[in-house]
Amino acid sequence: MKRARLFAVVALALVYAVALGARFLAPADYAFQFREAPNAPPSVRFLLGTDELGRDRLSRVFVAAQTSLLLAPAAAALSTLLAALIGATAGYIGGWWEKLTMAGVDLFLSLPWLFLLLTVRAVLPLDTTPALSVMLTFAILGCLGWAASARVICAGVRQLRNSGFVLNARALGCSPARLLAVQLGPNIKPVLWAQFLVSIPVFVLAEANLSMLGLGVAEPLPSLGGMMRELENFSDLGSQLWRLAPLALLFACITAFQLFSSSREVQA
Amino acid sequence: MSVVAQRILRAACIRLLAAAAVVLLAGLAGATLVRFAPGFGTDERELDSRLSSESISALRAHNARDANVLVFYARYLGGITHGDFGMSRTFPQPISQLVKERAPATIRNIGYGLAMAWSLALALTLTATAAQKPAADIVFSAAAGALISLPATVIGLLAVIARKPASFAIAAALFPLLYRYARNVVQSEWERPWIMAARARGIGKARTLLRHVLCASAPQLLALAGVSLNMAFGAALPVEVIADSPGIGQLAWQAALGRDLPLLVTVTGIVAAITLLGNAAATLAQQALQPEQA
Amino acid sequence: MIRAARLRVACALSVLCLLAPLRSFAQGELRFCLHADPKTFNPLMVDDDASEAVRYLTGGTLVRLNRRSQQLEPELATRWKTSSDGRRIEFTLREAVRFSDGSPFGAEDVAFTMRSLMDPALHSPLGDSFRSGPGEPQIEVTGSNHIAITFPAPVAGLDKLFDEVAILSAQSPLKERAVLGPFVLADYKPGLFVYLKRNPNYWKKDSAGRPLPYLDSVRLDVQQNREIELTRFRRGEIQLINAIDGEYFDRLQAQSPAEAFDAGPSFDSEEMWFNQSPSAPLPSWKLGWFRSTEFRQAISSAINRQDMSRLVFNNHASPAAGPVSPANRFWFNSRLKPHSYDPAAALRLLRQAGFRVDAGVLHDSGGHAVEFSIVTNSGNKARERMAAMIQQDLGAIGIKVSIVTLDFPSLIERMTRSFNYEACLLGLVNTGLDPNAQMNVWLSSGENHQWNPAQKTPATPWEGEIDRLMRAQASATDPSRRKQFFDRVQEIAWEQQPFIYLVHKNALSAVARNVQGADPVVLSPQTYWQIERMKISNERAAN
Repeated sequence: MKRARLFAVVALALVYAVALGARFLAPADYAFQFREAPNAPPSVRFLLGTDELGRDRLSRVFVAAQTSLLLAPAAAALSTLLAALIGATAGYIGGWWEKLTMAGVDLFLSLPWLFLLLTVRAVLPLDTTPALSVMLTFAILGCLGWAASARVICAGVRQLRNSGFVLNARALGCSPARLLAVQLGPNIKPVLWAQFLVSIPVFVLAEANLSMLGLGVAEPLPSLGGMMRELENFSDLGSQLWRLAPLALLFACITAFQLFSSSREVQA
Repeated sequence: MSVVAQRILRAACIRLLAAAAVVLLAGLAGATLVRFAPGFGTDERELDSRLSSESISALRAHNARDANVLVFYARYLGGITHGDFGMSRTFPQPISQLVKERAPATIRNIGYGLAMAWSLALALTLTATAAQKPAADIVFSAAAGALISLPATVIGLLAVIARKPASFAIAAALFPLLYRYARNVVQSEWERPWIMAARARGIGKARTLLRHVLCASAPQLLALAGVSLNMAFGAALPVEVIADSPGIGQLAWQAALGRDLPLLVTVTGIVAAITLLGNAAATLAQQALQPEQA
Repeated sequence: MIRAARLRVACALSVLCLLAPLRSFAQGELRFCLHADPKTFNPLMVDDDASEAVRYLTGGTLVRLNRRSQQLEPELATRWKTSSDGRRIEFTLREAVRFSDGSPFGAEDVAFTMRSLMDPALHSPLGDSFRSGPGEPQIEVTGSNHIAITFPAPVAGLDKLFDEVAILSAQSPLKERAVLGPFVLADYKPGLFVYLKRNPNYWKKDSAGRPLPYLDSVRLDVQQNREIELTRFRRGEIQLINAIDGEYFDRLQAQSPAEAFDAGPSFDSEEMWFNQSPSAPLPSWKLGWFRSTEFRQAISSAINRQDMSRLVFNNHASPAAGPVSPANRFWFNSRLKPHSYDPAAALRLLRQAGFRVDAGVLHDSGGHAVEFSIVTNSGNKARERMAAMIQQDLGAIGIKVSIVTLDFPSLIERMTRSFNYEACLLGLVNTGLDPNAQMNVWLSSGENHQWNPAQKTPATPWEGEIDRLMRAQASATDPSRRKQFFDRVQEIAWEQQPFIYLVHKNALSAVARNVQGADPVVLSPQTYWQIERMKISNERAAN
């Protein structure tokens, strides 16, 4: 397990080093169209080939990693935090408050939030920079993604509230805040980790869908989700495996996060 | 009638009223979101260069008729009381007929999808927990990671290419989410001292897992089960659109593109009802399992 | 021995056939995809491609435009005559024709159809294209098979408009379900398919006297996804693709060249325009750029249309000079050539108009850096790529362009109500051959005069001149006079660039090998315009 953890840490460090230094490491300008070489296969000049407009895919993957792999975990952390706060409070207080919160969660889960996103786009000026727009998109995703796991966390906390060691702590005069942080926190951590890990790829992909609505990454800035839209025409993917690079990177990243978290669990 | 029965009846009534209130509120909030979204009341036909300006004005006036959300909602609810959900704007059909025609496909997709995703997720969770081998964990996590990294549209396309029904794609989209949560919940229960104690006393692995660990994880797993109905509906939307399965998800998407207010409000109401139903069932099951905690 | 082996193979094959989840096809059933549900089955209200397909397959018309020769041919009318002033048209109708439900066809049906179509409360786009002046048309039934219609003002290209008028029955209780076309609507499952069956009462026969159509049925599957459409075509589940992307076309051509058809430039064009509307909530200096002829000309010269055709459309498109594609043989102005790619000339023009380049950034005379956003509809890969190419091309002359993709309703709201956009990239689908179909685009008072719609008086002298020419061509009846007027409109549009025309896409289509009688053309419906003479041979397309 230690080896797996080491591997995960090295892999994540590598990916994030590339993501942070994308603009220096990229062999070409991510937006420049080498129009004489569209859809080029990998070569010394273009290590991962080019896209349909002749843009260097490797450079685009680097910059996409920067947008997606920095912002998606941030949004995932935000939604996990919201889920923890709302779910744990409801589960801990219980009674009417819990019922009201859970009704709110149900309401939240059923609404067509797509239209809120469209409205946000309408309010934003058209010349909003791609960077600002993508940050906003991930912030919105973070704010909207908490509801499902809040319910799971609430159930976990409710169960713990009535368990022996929590009753014991309460009897000893432990304050609610300390109780939440010290006694309940560690016990609901697995669910939080699951929520965090699940949200990263979900948000990376959700951003791709939102960029189609004018929110999120706009041309020419690449994102992993946006690059994965290329996979939708996969009839000749078999002969162009290098087009899978963004998918492979996202997958590697998710797996590394998972390894990192599960080895922590075992150690704890 | 006994006191207990009366109490149960009262509780059920309150719960039903609360559920109705949530559905009504969801409908109103949904209507408000749609009404104030950009493009409400527009029509592609306005770009037809053959139309005279009188016809374009008439078209705009016709499409602006539900501009007041409250008036619209009151009229909509009034219609529902005698079974009329109104006419769709995007399809030349009454909404009740559209929903009736499309519900079976979605029920099938979601039902089979959930069953497959849950069976696989639970089976792999139990296997990984029982094995306690990093290799098993890594393999299953990798499989889940690969599936979750694929856009739903690509999963939908793969299902079509492989000639599999849409429920496969929904299962593929749900499985990694369920597995992630279930695995973490079950693993943390497995590491509890009393489970260790039970194992130390020589209770078999299978029995420990099924009788003790699963029971202890039940509240969270049931909560997840309740929410998974809503997740399945969320996954059904892109999958049905791509895989051309004419269900409610596809209907919702077309309604959204056409800013079809009455149809969207109906779909929002249906989603709210499904979500409530899933969660109420989960709560009831929880109460049945652990009455003292509920 | 050999026989036994054959038997075994046959058994194995039949078992395989039973197991394979392939749907079996009725004999003579043609299948292809619609990309959306039909919005209406009322032939008078058709305004979308899917409804148009159903109307073409089911509706019987008085005359039909031959999609290959672009000439009118007799259909339910054996003869017709347009008056010299272009206001009156007389039809002599075919006798002994019956609707699909058996009710007889006659002049009363045509009168009923025209009265319904011209009802001002109907707001039919087709009806509006007949409306050239105030007042209602006079319809005279002068015999059981003779009818004359007089319009209050001359209607240019009057006879050709009847290609779209599907005749309804005045008496049939089935109303619009009683048809005169080769097929009858038999079933419709929203989101799934439209099923059409052969019209048993169809009047047409082939040269050997056999009743047409040859096909038993047509099934139109509602299928939005192009990738799946292509997959189904390759599997032999559908036999036609009416419009196919350049990328998919090349893939299909590589695998099965006999099934891929490139009919050359289509009527459709892709274009970009700047918002010049005074109601636009834009800073005055930006509106100033957009209203400057030199600025628009410079932008046009700075865009590399050749690269666009090559990269975005895989060479299945050609640079566009104006609204009329070379495919429209009569109305195309062959003197106009697309603005050639010349960034140096673009910069010269901009300098003339007071712009200057400082440190690689273009500034106007007031010192504002030149930057604008282009909106386009989301989900259209070709447009997103075109926008990205424009971004790079204009970047080379110091203009910063941002791209915003919006879903269609949001885009329409910006284009028609809030006018809150700077430049827009969109395509126009030209269905009609005649410039009259574009009247509301070119008249400055038109709602579809996109760059500055619904003007009270023309904002610029050249828009006034276009108004005059468009009205003149509409009231003239001599085709060559009309052509002179419209040629001049095209020239003004070329000089002023209110629409910066980019490319005409080619009409690409696919027809399975087992389909006989298809003759793909550029005019819609490209692959099945001869539907009544199409056949399906029993051998399945080999994959």
